[in-house]
Amino acid sequence: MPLHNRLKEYRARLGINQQEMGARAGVSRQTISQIERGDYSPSVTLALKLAKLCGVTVEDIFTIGEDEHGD
Amino acid sequence: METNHVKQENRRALPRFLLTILGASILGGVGGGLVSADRTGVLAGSVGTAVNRILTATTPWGILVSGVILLGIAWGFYRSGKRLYSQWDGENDASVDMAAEKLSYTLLFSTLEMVICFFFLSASFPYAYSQGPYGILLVVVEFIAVVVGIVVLQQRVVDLEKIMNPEKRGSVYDSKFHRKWMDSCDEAQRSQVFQASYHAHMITSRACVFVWLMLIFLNFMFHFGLMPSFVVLLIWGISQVSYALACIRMGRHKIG
Repeated sequence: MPLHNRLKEYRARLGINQQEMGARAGVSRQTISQIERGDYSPSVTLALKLAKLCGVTVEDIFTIGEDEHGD
Repeated sequence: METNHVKQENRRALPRFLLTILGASILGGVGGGLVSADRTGVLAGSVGTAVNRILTATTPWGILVSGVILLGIAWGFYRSGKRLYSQWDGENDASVDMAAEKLSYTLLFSTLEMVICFFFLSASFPYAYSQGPYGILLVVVEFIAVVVGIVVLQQRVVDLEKIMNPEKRGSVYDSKFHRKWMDSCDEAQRSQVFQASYHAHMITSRACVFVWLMLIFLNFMFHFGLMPSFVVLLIWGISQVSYALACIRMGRHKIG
């Protein structure tokens, strides 16, 4: 199932770039970029860290979409 | 229910598997037939002579020429990657991702040149020696010069990667570089490394079987003995055993 996210939107609200976001979350800029593009699904630990940084819950940032079969 | 599912999958995959075995057998039969057709060894003799001539002519200059070409290409990718990174505004993903890709190509071409260097160095002993002891000396000097070039280029790539990713740790001159570099990778980067490693393991396994098969046929023509097949099987064995042992070890301990 695809994982949708609003990380870019919340990062923009914080007014920081990917490098800064990565530094705060303890990951690389590329990882933030990949998460925002939907190319990488973060671990629970990283998702919780990102949510905490943005001051929201994990569900506010990440949502599971329905796949092609509608499961 | 579950057993039926397993059986169904096997039934679906079996025809293709049998077809592959049949195809390989036919290919093997044709190959064997062609090899046995060369009973007089005319083809083997002419191929052997051609390879000898080519290696005698290319060995003294192989490292230098391939070094200039491949390191030239690698250097071009490095310069291009560096330029792209210097123009990065801090937001545009595409340009910095492209810079990282260029650096990956730099490492690819420099690694390729390293393999070629090792080949020509080993070829220098039987082939360059015919041109006197200076033939080998020339190859050794070329080898050292090109390897220094490769190491310096790789050091520059790693340094630039560390500027692009401040969290990265390790120096190419450190014997524990790979461990330190891996330790500084985050979860997404590790996942990429693991996927790439698995891909490389699978490709190596297939390549080993293919090369082993080729060596079996070619041995009928060139009579080079069992050593090449043994070496290929040794590499295959190491790859398979180390993979299986790593899986067993990881199954016992926690992952991540």
